Amino acid sequence: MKLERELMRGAGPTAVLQLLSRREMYGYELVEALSKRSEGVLSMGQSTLYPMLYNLEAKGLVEAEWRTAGSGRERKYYHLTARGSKKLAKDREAWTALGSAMIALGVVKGAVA
Amino acid sequence: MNTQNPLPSAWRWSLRYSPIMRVIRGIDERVRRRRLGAQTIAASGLPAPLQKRIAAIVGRTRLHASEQRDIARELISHCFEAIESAKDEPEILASLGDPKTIAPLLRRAAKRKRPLIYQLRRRAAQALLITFGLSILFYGLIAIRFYAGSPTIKTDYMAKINAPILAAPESDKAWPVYQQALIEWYQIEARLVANTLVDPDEQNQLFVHPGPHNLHEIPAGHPDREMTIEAMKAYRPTLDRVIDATRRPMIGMLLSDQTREIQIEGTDRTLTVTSAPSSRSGPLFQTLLPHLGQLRFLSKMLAFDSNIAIEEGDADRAAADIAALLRLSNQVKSEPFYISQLVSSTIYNFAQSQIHRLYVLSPGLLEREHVIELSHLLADARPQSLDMTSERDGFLDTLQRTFTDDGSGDGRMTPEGARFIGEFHRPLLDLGEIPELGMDSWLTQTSTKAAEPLASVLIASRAEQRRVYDELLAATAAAIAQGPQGLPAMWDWDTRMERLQTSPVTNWSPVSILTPSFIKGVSTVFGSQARTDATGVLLAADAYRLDHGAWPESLDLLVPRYLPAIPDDPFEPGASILYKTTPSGPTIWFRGADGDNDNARRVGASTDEYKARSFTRRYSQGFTDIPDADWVVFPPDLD
Repeated sequence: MKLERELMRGAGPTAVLQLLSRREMYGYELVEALSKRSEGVLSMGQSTLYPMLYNLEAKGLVEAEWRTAGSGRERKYYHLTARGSKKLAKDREAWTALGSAMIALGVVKGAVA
Repeated sequence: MNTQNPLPSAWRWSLRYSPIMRVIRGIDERVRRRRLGAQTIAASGLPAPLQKRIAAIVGRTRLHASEQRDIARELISHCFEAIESAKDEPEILASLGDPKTIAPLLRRAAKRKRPLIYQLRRRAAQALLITFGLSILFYGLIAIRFYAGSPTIKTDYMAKINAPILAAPESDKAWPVYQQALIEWYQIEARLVANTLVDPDEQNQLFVHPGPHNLHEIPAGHPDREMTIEAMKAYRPTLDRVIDATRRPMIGMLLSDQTREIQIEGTDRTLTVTSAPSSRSGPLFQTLLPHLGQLRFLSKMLAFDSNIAIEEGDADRAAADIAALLRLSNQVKSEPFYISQLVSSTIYNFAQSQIHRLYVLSPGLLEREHVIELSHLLADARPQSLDMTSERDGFLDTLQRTFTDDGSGDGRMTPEGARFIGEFHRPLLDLGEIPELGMDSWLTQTSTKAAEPLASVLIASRAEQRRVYDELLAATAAAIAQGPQGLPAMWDWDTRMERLQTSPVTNWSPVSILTPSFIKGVSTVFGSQARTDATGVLLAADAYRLDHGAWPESLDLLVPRYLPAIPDDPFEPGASILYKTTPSGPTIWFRGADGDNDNARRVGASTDEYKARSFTRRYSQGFTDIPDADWVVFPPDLD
């Protein structure tokens, strides 16, 4: 299942921040991780990922650094900044509240509090 | 090998860092960087379709070369990771996306990453562009509004002034007689010039071009003296007609904004007169008043004739000439132009000077009836105010020719108005004249034209112009009513009008262009009033002398039979005019600009006499050149 564009626009950056909160990752790695962990729901191509990463970088939520891997290949690694961590914490609260509301409304299946 | 550069090192440095070389270096650097970006993709070793797609994406971003290279490196890296993960080429191409879609997204995101200074510059440029755009739009709206406006000429003010003249019978008009008299004198003068009038010492050029000079200006024994006197006597029948014409109710010359020349027969001279008014009158403020100078000339003829009469002991003739001068002054004053009031005042002063001269040269000449007639005429001509009717009409006429009319007396500047004002005033946007750049022609004209619409928003509205003008007229009337102590208020107005005239915006408005300083007029009224009062005292004292055989010892003796009241001294509130009598005759004086009685002391030879007569020096602050002297009206200093 694929998310609609508007929904992806809201969920995508939070998902990327979440992945980067665990460790630094490069672009391809992020594409793959998003696809696998979300079971394809949040999978996105380079056309979506890189503009999103640049936007996060412009906002100071992530930082990037070119490094040469063991294979000799150049990779651009992204990692979360302090501001990015704060933003992620806020997004988590918002998504949690949204999820609860959706469950309460019966939009999302789950235990009703 | 000689490697020495023929150019001096300073020149080489200047050339290397010149602006044009900087531009060339900048272009070269950009091309070089783009080439590097392309080389980066080419050197990646990716399959050609992928290289082509990445180049298409990167190229479409139109970012800086360094940004393009960074994106290219990242996409190349991504593609290699995908290849290593066993993704096939179509899948990778699909993942890369359509260049048309992804490039703008990358472009927007990459630009957001640019430094703060770039963002600020970008915002500033956007703000500037928006401001410029809005300004153009705003100016366009102003221009549309400006060019949509046009003046409506509702009142023919010139016809309004000419109407009573046209309605009056010819026998009421003095001008035809005056005009003929002037023509006849010019013919006599031409004959005089042809015959003699050579200064024996070739020093005094006065008599080479004879005219009605005061007789005392021609030295006794000069060959021109007798000839000029004879010429004047021959002219007396004409002058008698002039004297009669001064009894007519009006000058009666039709006003027009056009003049014509009347060729005077037997001479090479012409007389300038106004043309008959056309069906559509021109602007009233451009009305020509050539007759004022001519009437001033005619008044000198009367003064000259009275001088001859005084020398001859002809009391009837001298009194008739002086009475004619006073009546002529009244006729001119009845023309409601400010300049007419000033000329009237000049003629009035001629008349009084002749009375004073007569009493110095021939104290017992006048008989009772002469004294009474002159006293009455003098009292009638005493100025009470300045008639500004036509001055105001001229201003209102200009407003109706320059502003729109919203029906309630308001409006804004029109293109016709801007051109009208521009004809006799400097351009609204004055770039000055730089002839070598042609700025006095093309650029100035273009800038003036482009700036014209500004007039509709910058220049005060029609109602505002009229309000300021009427305020000034009211202040002028109030100052005259108050007396010389009201002059400082007029100075304040002068300062206010000067500010309007020097402001880059308001100096273009009718109220600042067309409003003269009325201070001179107001001061002239006060001066004339004082002089009239002094002359009235002189005539009253002479009437007393005729009855009692001696000049009165004090003015109290004159009231009420010869004078209704002792006149005030305008230089000292509450004080009266000063008088004393000596064996040689009476002395009549005012305290003068210093405000105290100096017992009829005149200003010294090195001081201008007008300073003692200056009401401005008496009642305004800041003057240091106030003479310690009085204004002695009688006897005059005939030298």
